[in-house]
Amino acid sequence: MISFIETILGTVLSSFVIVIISTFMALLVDFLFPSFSKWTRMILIFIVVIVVLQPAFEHLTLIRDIAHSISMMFISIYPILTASMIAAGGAFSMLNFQPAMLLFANGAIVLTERILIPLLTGALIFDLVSRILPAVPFTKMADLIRTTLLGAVSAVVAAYSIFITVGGTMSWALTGLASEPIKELIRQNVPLIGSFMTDSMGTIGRYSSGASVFAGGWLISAIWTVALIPSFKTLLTAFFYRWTAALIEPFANEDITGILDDIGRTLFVLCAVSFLIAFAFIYTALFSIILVKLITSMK
Amino acid sequence: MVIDDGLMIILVQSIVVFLILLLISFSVPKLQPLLYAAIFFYFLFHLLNTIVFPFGKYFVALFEPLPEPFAKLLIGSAILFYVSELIAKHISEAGYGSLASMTHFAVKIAILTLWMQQTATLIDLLSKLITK
Repeated sequence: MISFIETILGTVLSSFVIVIISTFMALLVDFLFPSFSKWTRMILIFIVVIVVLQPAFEHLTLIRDIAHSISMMFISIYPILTASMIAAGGAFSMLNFQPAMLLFANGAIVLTERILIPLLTGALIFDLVSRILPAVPFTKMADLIRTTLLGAVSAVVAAYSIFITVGGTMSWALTGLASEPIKELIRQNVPLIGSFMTDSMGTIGRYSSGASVFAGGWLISAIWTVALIPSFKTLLTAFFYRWTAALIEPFANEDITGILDDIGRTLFVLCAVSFLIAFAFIYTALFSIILVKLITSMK
Repeated sequence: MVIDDGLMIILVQSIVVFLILLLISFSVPKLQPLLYAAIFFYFLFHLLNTIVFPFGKYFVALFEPLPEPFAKLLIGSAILFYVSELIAKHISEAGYGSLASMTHFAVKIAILTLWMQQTATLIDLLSKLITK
């Protein structure tokens, strides 16, 4: 875990140091050659886009690849899973694992891969365009896309929790008194998606606590870690973008801080989208584990 | 430091050049444009050699932690732009404005060609986002 955070710090922090140094360089060049200042700004945007947006782009492609591979995996194993569920008979009815829920969870991934992530890419490009060419602003468009995406993702997660509570067999301990302060902390300190994060983590947790009777706590926590590492990484990177924007605001061009801030906001939405993927991954993994357990124990 | 000594000498020299030009405009007013141009270019190259290029090297070394071509390219193209602007101004002062803007345009294209590779990288990066 420590080395994992160190890698993120290494790649992301070094590129932000580059932003700060290059801002100083642009300040010096502006002082020496005031007639060149228009181009200095452009070149600074060049440096920012090439060097600093690399982590953001990597995260976007990472989440896109994960969504693609999970949706492919789902399409290939869904018939097998449902067939074996039918073969297993009524043993599933007590577990509240419906095939409809599986279809819904993974349908959300297909939705993510086909619509949500391309839209998010669009928001990123709109932001860049409106910063590079201030005469043609698309900021409202980008904001609209982001809020729409966040709304869609929250709706899907709300639908998850409705699905789960309709069955009613599973309840979760994290909703208890002890975790309320933590939830409140997350809700207030993570911008844009804080309350969404606590809600969706509650939804995921409600499932896995019911399943831990069957799958064992260590296995559950392993699945949780694997599923949530991309989201966590994205969240940390998004925070770095906003911190750097705040740090260089006094002396940098407004465009540069604006770009960093916008990218940070887009990454927060990407983090929310990746929660959707994590949920579907956890659900499918638990489902397969319980299926295998049931089949082996029935012999 | 080299720059400090050179700077003082250059400042004194520029005043001397100014005085020489004033003298010329009194003694041989007909030759004044020609001599002015000669002294201007001589002084410009002297300035570049003693102050601007050492400073450019110092500047590039100062921003070594930045990824390789950027500091070099930025200071290089800024100096190129500035010198070209200076020369163009000189030419247009002599009364050949169209020639001045032509040379300035050519230098602008040269600066753009310097940045072509970086532009290609940028376009590659952005188009990678759109296509799968």
